[in-house]
Amino acid sequence: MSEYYDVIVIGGGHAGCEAAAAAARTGASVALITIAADKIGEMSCNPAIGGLGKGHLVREIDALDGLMGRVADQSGIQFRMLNRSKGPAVHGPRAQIDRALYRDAMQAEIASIDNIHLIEALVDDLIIEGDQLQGIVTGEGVSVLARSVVITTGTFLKGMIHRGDERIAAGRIGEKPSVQLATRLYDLGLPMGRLKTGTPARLNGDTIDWAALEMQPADNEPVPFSYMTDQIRVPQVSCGIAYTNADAHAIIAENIEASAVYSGAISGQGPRYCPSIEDKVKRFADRNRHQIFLEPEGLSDNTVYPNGISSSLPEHVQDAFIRKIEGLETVEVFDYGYAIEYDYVDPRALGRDLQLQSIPGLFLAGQINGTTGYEEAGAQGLMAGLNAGRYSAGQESVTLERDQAYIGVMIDDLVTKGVTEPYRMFTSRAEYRLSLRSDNADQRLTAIGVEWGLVGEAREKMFHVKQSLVDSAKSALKNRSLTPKEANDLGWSVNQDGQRRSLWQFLSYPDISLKSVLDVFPDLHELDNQALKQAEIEAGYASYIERQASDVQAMRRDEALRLPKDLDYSRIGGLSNEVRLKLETVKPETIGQAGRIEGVTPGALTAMLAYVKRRKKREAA
Amino acid sequence: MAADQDTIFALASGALPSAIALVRLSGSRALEICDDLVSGGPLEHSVASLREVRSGSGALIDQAVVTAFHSPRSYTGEHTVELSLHGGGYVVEQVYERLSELGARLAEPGEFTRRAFEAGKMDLTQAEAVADLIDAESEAQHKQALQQLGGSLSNLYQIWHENLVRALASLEVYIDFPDEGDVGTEDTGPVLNRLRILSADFERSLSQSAGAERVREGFLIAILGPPNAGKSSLLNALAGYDAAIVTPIPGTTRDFVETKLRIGPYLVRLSDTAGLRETSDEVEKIGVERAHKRAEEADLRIWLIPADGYEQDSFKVIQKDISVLSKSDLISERNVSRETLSISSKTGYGLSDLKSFIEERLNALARPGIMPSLTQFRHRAAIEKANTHISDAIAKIETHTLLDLAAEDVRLAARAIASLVGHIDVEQVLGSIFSDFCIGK
Repeated sequence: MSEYYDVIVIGGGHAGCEAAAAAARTGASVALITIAADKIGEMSCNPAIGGLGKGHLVREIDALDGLMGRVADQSGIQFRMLNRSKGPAVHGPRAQIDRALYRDAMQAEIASIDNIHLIEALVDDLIIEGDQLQGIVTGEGVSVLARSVVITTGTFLKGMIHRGDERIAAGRIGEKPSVQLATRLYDLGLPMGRLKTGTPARLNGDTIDWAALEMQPADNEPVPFSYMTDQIRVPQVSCGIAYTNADAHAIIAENIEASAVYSGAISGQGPRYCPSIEDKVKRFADRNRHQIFLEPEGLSDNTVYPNGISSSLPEHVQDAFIRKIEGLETVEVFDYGYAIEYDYVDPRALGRDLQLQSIPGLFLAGQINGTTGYEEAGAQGLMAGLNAGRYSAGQESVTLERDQAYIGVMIDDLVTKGVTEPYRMFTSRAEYRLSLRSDNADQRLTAIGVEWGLVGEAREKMFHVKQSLVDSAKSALKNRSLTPKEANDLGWSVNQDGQRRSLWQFLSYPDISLKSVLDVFPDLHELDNQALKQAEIEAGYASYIERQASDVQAMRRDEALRLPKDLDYSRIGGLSNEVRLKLETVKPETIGQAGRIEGVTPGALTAMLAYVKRRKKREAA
Repeated sequence: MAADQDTIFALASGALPSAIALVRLSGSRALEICDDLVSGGPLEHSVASLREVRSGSGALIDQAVVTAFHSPRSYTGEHTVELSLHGGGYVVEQVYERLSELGARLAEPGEFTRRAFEAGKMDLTQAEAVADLIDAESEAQHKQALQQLGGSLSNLYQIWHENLVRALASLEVYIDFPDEGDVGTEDTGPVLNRLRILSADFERSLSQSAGAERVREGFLIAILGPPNAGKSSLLNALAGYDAAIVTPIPGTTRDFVETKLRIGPYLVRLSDTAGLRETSDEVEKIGVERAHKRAEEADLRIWLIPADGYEQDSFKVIQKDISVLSKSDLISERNVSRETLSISSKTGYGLSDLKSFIEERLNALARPGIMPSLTQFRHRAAIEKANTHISDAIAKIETHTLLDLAAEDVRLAARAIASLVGHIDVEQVLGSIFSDFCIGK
């Protein structure tokens, strides 16, 4: 007798947890199947959450009532707001994380959700009858049935660790890879490729000479990730900063042929933004030092993660060059760095709901789609779990647009352009960066989440309270105005053009701050302070965001022009073979998406539109 | 066979009848259609061969030299066939009919070039240059169009675009990688420098552009002077035909008359105007007003001073104008000072001197500088826009205000330049970041 669920989630990493929780929030019964239940919420690589673009994603996950932000707030041991001096649109919340606290908090979150059932097993096979997905089969031969399945297997698909000339088949160090499932995905005819990433050695913090190092403290007032967290209660620590030097570089250069990356053993493409120390020494030979952040992995764990020296050199070479570094002369290495190669599915095979176009009901999220990072994985997991839940309930898929969320930017990039290296979020990927800020993720998304049935009662209530506070702050600022002469008397230099301006407008001047406005109108102090700050940020970007409004409109117009799923591109005249192939690979859902495929010209778009219109006319006749 | 209407054809040579008529065919089915149209088997790439052209019923239409260009090595990037037919109207008509039967369709104006553009065979500025080359009526226009077709403008825009992308990359690296690896301190000096150089480039190019646009459109030269100074006679003499009515009655020309002619390498739009005088005649009054307006618009003005005397003070000659003594046949040469040009439209005396004098002035106006010229208003507008955004960005970076807004300004500038040559992709910015900076901790 097999068990039946609405949704099966394979994998208990960051994508899997968000997927299971999101599906459960839609009301689905969920089976979360993982190889090792005690590894749920494990951070396989660096012990940190957030940063630029990534911090934005965490806030968005949180705004849709996901887990990552709340869990990070319970386990963050060094909170820092990056880019404080650079304009609120590019503020990036980031925190070092205590691995054990994070894992515990995540496991507690999962355990607290009634309709998630945990199954500890390896998944070997998918059950597909005709083109109908039925469920999965475990390594023990047990079948578990469901209407939809979300695969979040991270680096476990045919994972292979490389270090010097060592080759270890593994998903993470010390953990078995998933080979059967990868084979099954190949058999399904999915387009697959290989990527690589790397990780540095882990050091014994007790053997580091901290006194010799520069230290980087946490912010005085840690700012939480979650809109639901009022205060960070975890003790805060500092990170150390060390530097490589000429001696270390010489050792690396001498042994570069022994590096797995340079010996040609690895075919997968690694990320340009996360190069190994071998890469850095080779490509930037003119630099005599590279920075290393020594990040504690936990409050009660003496392991230190040396961020900046990921390497696939043999163990003895890693030992040798690390010990050349000031502060690390007598360091003990717990585990050595390695490069890991793994399979991914070309995400252009997915729709924007992260469902495979060729196998309805099968959703993919996280590194299997060619991304990197906990935040990218979590965000995809949330959207895949949400849509899997909706699929099982017979509801339409939902998506976020590029002007609504970084989540929308990321998924659109993935399914439209595919990947050539592990995809990581950057703020520069978002054309509407000035509106997609980390401070307003809730204003952008929580109402949508409520509509999708994804947001719990507590958050919904809190959101409405905040929304009304922000609204009254904004209208107070907009309703009060000054003449240019009055402003001038206050020392605010404006054009003496006789035009009255509202306080909202004055706030868009770079030299007029909220503080100076409050000094002049002390009664405004009655308004909520957080809401006033939010209004100040919005006022500062108002003119730029208005200028983008026509771009947004044009994009929305193109997004509204939907292309039929069964469109036969070979029947559309005027498309070159190259363009036709690309369109067939991506199967864009809208004219807007088609236009973002590299090489698709305005002429090709016109031809597609004309064809679709003719076809509709024929069908109507 | 809906997808096959895609193969297009059109007459590529001049009006019929003519010695030879060149019909061009382009599209995915161009080769097979031609196989059905002409005798003698498959057409090799870039080989001209003599073939028989036959109608659907097998009747001989013509003998033609046929040359095929296989995709992508053709003008449009598609399969292309050129048929050199005998240039009779009936022959071409028959060929058109047969091609339509075989599933090709008549091309829309500019469609071949549009396809070449879409196939990436040329960029937008080059496509514009093709149109200009076809329309060129003067040597300078021809040279300008050829330069642009060769990609001189797009090369310049590419360089600007690359520089903007790099400027953007150096701002983005501070934004997206604030604490990663070896980005270093936020030294905005280099990026400011790059932006200032770009802005100076934009400004220099803009200051040269008015002349270039004139070369493309033709210089406007107005002939001005008191009534009966011989303005219309001069226009006719320079044009070489009677474009304007000439009578001995002052005030004959009541509106301006314009004619196109070539002076040296330049296309010139020469305009005759109503004689400038106080008048009570309503119609002539309007003519005089128009003459004044024309004088203001003109790139160059020729003031005619009749040798047989005129009323002083009826107009003011300004420095850039050319003053010419007209009707020099009426006075003896001794009385003419050497500095003043004197002409006689009647005898032709002095006309070639006047032409060289005008050409010199136009040379100065055309000012061919070091940089390729911005030939079209569209280009100038885009560059003005880019320059404004760059200035905004420079001001923000100098005063250390919001770097995210400065980056947005640079992005808008890059987008304005990209509108001239192609699009800006976030991958270009990221690529520039990762090649110039050692990222990754």
